[in-house]
Amino acid sequence: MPIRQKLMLIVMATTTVALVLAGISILFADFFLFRGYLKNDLSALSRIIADNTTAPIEFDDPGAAAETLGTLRARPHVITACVFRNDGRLFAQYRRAHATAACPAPRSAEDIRFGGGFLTVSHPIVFKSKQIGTFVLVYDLGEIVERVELYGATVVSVFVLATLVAVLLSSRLRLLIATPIVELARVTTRVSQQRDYSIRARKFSGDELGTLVDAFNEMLAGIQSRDSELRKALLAREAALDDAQNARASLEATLENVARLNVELRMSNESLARSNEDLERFAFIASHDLQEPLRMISIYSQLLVRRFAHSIDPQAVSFVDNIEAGTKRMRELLADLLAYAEIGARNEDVSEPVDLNLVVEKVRQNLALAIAESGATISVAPLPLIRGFESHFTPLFQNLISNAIKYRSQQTPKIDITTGGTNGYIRICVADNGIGIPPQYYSKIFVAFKRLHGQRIPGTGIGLAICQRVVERYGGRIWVESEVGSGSNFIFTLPVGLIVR
Amino acid sequence: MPTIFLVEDNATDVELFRLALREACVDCELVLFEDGGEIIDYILQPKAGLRRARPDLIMLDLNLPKNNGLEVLQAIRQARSFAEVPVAVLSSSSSPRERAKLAAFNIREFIVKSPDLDAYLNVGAIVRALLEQGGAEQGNAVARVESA
Repeated sequence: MPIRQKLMLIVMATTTVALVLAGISILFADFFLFRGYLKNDLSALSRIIADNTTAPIEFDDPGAAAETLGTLRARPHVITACVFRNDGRLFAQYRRAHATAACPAPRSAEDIRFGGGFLTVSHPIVFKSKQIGTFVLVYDLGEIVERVELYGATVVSVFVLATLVAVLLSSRLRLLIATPIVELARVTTRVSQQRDYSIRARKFSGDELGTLVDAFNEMLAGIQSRDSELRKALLAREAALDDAQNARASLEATLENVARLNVELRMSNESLARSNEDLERFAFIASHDLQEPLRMISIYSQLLVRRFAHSIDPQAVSFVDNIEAGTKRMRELLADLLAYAEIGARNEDVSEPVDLNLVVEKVRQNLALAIAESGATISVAPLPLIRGFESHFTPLFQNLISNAIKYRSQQTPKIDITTGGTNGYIRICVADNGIGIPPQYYSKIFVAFKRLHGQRIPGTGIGLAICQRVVERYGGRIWVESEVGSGSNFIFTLPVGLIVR
Repeated sequence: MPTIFLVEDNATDVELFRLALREACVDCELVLFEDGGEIIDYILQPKAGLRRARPDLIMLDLNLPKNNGLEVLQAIRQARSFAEVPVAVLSSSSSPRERAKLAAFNIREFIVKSPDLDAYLNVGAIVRALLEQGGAEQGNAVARVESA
């Protein structure tokens, strides 16, 4: 039921109850009051008429008595009135128009009684303290019913009036109470349906309803701010999620790329290893097989000189010497090339601890002639025991030391072999006081067959390339630090994992 | 007269070997095999035309066509009648790796073919010494030519 109807119902119910209660109480009050009043009134009237009929009875004049009784016409509810003589004979009677009722028998004393819708009054007629007759009056109580009917009509009309007033009032009340509540309900419905928290309820008054509207609006504002915060947080989360997804996608793409690159790298590594192997095999076979014809040239030119020494021109002998020198140089180059190729070759043999101190000692013996000729001094710090192949470390040290002697300055060669350590690697330095190397050649000198000097200083140009190949084979690095005129430091590193002791 | 099997594909080396034998005054019958396959065939199934089934010495070049020196050595050591024959290896390379592979085969001599004429001709003297020793000192490899 809408609040408006409820309000109207309340007003109507209140009015009805009040009216009915008031009507009933008035009716009851009036009923009893009227009976009392009627009793007194009729008692007084009876005494007056009784007094006025003493003379007609004394003078036995019934006409005068009837005349006196006739004044009762003024009271329409008096049905009949009679005057009796003391002996009980009817002296005079009054009857209301069209009434046929007979008078009841008179009673000796004054008596008023209600009964059968009538009020019967009996009053003695007294003359000189002596009762001479009795006056009897019958009163129609229909007046009371009339009065009740009148009251009922009044109450009904007041009720109708009150209803009209209530309807009017309820429309006023609606404006005061129902309208703000209905408006509030409408706003609530709109908010819940549209999820639009920016809507506000209209305030109609400053009373509790106004406070309610304010509170509701405040609540809406709170919800709105929280909703917008939530929305913002959601957006931020979505953005973060998007970012994460993007990052993941790009990571996946990167991983795919890495995987692809890895495959490519592995393939190119394999092909590199294959071509490296091919190259090594080629170098090995070339140097090995090239030795054969070279040996023939050498031996047969020697044989030529020996067999025909007496019959050939001395100049031819010197030509043959040049052939010899050429083949010798060629042999050296091939031997170095072979050594270079062999370092890279796969070695099925098990590596064993190599005492670098012994290696240096062996190199000293190998280079004994050059050391003696140049007067070189070599100082060696205690060197470690390395897991590897002696056939690799001997050429490494031999090339470095013989270079230090070969490329000496005016001073007597002084070679210092020292060790040190840097994160995970052992560092070995071969320092000399030789002619030094200009910086622009630091990397070139490690390239096979690259030489800085002509035939004046003998050499095949492969020594440092061999050194580099050895060091790199073991996972180390080799480089030079030098100053022209004061000497060179050849430094190489080896992983500490290789150190046995 | 002793018999020497020479397994050598290089004609000039054969000529030089003969020269070395002549210089060292080694008197012998030289049977030539020009590749690895040829001598392996002979070891497995000797030809009727050859007077002796077993030589006094086998001079083996390592770098051979068809079957290389190592395969020939394996065949020699596995054949019962040849297992005891002294073998000297001729090689143009002094590579330690190559030499290590021969360790199991009981080689009498490892001769590096020298580019020096005198060192090369010294092979004749080594052969004579080996023939004089005969089968007496089997299993006692002496690397006399190592320094050459």
